[in-house]
Amino acid sequence: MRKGKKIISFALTAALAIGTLAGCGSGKGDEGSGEKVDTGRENTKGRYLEEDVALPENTDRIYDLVQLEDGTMRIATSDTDGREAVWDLKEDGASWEKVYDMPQEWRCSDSFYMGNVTLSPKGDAIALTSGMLEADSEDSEQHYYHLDASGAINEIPDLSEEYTYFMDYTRDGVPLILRQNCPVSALNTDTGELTELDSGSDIAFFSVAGNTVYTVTYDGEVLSYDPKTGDPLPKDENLADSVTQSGMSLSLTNLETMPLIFCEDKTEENLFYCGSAGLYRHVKNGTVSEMLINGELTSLGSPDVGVKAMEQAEDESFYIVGKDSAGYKLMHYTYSKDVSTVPDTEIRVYALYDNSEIRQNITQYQKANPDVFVNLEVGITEDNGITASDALKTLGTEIMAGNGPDLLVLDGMPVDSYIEKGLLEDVSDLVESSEGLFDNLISAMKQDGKLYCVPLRIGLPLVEAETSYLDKIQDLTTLADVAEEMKASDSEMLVLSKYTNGAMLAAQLYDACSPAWVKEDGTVDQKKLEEFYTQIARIFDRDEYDEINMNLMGMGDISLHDYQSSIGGGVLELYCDKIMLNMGNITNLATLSMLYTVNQDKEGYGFKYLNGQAENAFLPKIMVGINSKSEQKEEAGGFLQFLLTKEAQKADQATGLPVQEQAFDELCDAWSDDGSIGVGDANDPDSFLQMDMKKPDQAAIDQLKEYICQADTPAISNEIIREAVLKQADDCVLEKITPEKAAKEVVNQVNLYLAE
Amino acid sequence: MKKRRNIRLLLHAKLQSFSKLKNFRGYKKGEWTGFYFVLPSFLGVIIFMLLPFCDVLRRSFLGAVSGTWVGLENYRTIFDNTAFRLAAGNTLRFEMVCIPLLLLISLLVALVLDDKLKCTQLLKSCFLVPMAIPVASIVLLWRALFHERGMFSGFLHFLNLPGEDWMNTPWAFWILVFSYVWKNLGYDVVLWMAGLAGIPANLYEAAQVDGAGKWQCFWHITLPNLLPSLFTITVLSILNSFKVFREAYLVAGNYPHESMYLLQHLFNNWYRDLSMDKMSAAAVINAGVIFLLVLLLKRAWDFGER
Repeated sequence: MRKGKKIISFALTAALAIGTLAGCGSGKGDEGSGEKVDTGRENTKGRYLEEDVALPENTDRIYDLVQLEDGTMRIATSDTDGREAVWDLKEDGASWEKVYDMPQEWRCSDSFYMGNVTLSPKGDAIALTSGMLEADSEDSEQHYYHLDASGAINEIPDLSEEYTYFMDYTRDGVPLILRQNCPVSALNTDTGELTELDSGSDIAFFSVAGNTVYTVTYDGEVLSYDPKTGDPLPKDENLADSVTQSGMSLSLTNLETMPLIFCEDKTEENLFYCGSAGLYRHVKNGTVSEMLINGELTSLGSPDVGVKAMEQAEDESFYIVGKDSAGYKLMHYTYSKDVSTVPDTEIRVYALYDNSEIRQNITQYQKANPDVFVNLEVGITEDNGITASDALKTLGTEIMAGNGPDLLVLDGMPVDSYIEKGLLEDVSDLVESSEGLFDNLISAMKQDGKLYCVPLRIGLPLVEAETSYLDKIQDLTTLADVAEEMKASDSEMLVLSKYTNGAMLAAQLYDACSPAWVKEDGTVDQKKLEEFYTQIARIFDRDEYDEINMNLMGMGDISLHDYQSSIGGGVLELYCDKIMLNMGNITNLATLSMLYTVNQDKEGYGFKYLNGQAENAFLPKIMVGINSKSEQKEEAGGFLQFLLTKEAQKADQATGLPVQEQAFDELCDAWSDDGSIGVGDANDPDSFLQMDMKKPDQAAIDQLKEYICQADTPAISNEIIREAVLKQADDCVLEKITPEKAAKEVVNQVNLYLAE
Repeated sequence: MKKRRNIRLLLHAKLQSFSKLKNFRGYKKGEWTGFYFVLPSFLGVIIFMLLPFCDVLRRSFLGAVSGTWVGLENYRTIFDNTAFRLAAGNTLRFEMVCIPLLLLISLLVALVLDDKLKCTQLLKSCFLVPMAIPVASIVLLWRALFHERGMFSGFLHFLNLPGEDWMNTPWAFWILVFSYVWKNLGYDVVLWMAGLAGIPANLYEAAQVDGAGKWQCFWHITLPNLLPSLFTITVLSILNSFKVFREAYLVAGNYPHESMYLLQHLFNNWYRDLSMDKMSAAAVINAGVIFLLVLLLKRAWDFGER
């Protein structure tokens, strides 16, 4: 008995001791370690590979894709000249045969345009057009046309005036439309009669698979209907759960693509659904869904890609129509049994904050290298809600444990400390072998002849005003002189927006001034900082500052400094004669377009490079470096080189201007001029400001390019210093503290940080 | 004293017999039972404290990321480091002010409560309440009180005096001291009262019969008998004082006013910046100082015992 007790007590003791060791695991999957994908790295083979199908020449838009009853894939397109046509994919799977050009009877006036075309598996089609019959009319009309298999066109009479969002055909050739605030309806193409499905009117979008209609409500609920009877089908709970668990967003962001599309196979037993998470197979009324294509390994997962239509071919491959920032494309997914299910090589990339350009580049790289999986781990996400400091500590733990990422996106990280510790590899050779980079930007990032991090994008400080004022601005002091001159003028316009507080003003000037604050020993120059605060206090318009409105807009939070530092925020106010002076960073071509529009529409206005306390400063963005402890430096280097290619640099999500010259040129060429922006208070119609943006001409593009070529001084990108400087600015411009005290407070804090 | 001597003799005898022992079968059954009970926590201390500390000791002689041998360079670096000197100075100053203050106030409160007041239990509970308040709530209280537009500044405005962002002034240190004493007072009072309860009542009765007053009783009976408690309470108070970092960090972040920039702030920031080399060297110095302090206290206690 005693022996038994001893054994039990010893076992319990051992269990206790072993239990305490449970926390010693690798920590994979911890929230703080960022979002990770379980790659399930096994030696299994078989994966769907993606390739783009070459589209008919000059294709600008794909309206629809359908598989005809004989198995042929058909698309409806318009070309760059605005001519619509229907094409069949030939048996070789690579070339197209035109079925017919769409007749132009629908073009009632010059303002009419083709809104949408949907194709039936039986060969006919419906076209939806919109426009104004009279040039001076204010009311837009929608017309519906039916095209038979030969392309003969007939207008569908007496159709409702409600705006139509989406159209689709069932396999049996029943056309369905979704109108604003209406249920999904079956359309009689002869009479225009609509038979409403019992779907309610809170439908965000719908998709047809075979002869079943799948709707997604604004609440994200997936329901199905029989289009013949109009009745709802028994709810497939497992389908709804599977869609939710896939993590796909079901929010409709535009009317050209949909978050979720469906199709089914010939047996009508398997349902396929596709979105940003990938393509899934679901056995109807079955219990589980199977991921066939992982969105993260293909274009589907790219943040700029949306899907529009999908069909499964007879060889079980998939055709998906998608749209990315470059335009429409037809993606073909074929199953390869020889390729590893999960790519053999994994490159781990760590970023403190999520970044759309990097995600887009990852998709591009994986598509070109199917055997490589680039795993982006994001430190701070909406889900984990941890602080930057905690995320960095978790990253440090992983690095010290030899489990660090291969590539680091260094924005928000202590770059100098990492360089000092030898964490970052010298990438000079890799970068120097990349073609077409702006050399001045790369050279500026070098330390002692070595390049430890390279920016993938940049921001440039600019100032915008009347040219008579602009000519006088040479540095921060002359900028303040001009601001005071503006205040003294009789103009009814304000100098700055009344919502601009001290932190915003400091953020707008920070990058043009911060390089001048660093002394040779690495500490911050208090005198220079005092000068900065003195000048921004001169520029600031205390008499017009509207603190109440500013607070209502939530602009007091310095975490918004990225937004605050943009020149884009003030362009509209300057354009509409509300303010006289606008400055900040340009980080995208849309802002160039706005600046150019001001120059064109307002005589005597212009913009120039803002030299503050420093000359030719620029803000490095998306800085990347290779972990010197990585075991895959070569692979990480390959990816880094790809990030600097023209193809990758053309990924434009407005984070910054490219550092590759050709990418900059091509992005400028491709920029469209049909945008319009507006802002205003819904309760005050007079407050509405609007601008129809113009495409920048070559002179404006060359002007900006010249500024990029001049830039040779990187701004201080350290977040701790930036926050400390902006924190004191509010009190300083409101004269609650003197510039001297503000500078002293910053220096105390920052030098403590630097001393560490 | 006699009892302690007996224990020493017993221990000595055991050690001698252990050295002569050829095998464990000669031991009485149940001799190791206590050891088994201690074993799990002892293993925990070894695995989670001693072994990691050995690694810290090793790292204090190596480069941060490269792991190359740098000798005493890291120690030289931290003593040249102004941030370390400031943090160490502030921490030392905090200890020197807080610990005597806390010990004294808590002893006074314990003595008052020990006087068999009617509401002793209620007061004891009241003093313990701060320990039950979550740190986040205390931080909110701090902000509400000491913000530039907080209650304290509001009160000063009422008196026509200027308000200030008190956490960004040298007063921040004294706010930290107040917070520490306020939060830990109840705990130390309970410990003192346990010590007071252990003093035999007949000692006081005998002294009173001999004509001793309250002060003489306190000086010649209470204080000497509280010396063993003093050691424990001091060590616990020192260890608890390091926890004040939570409040300081939550209210002022990584870089508080320089008067309340403590060693934990520095360690925290070094860890964030991957400065494992400097952090390891500073941790070894810190551990060494605390170890020496405890030894000194122990020695002082032993001296007092004799």
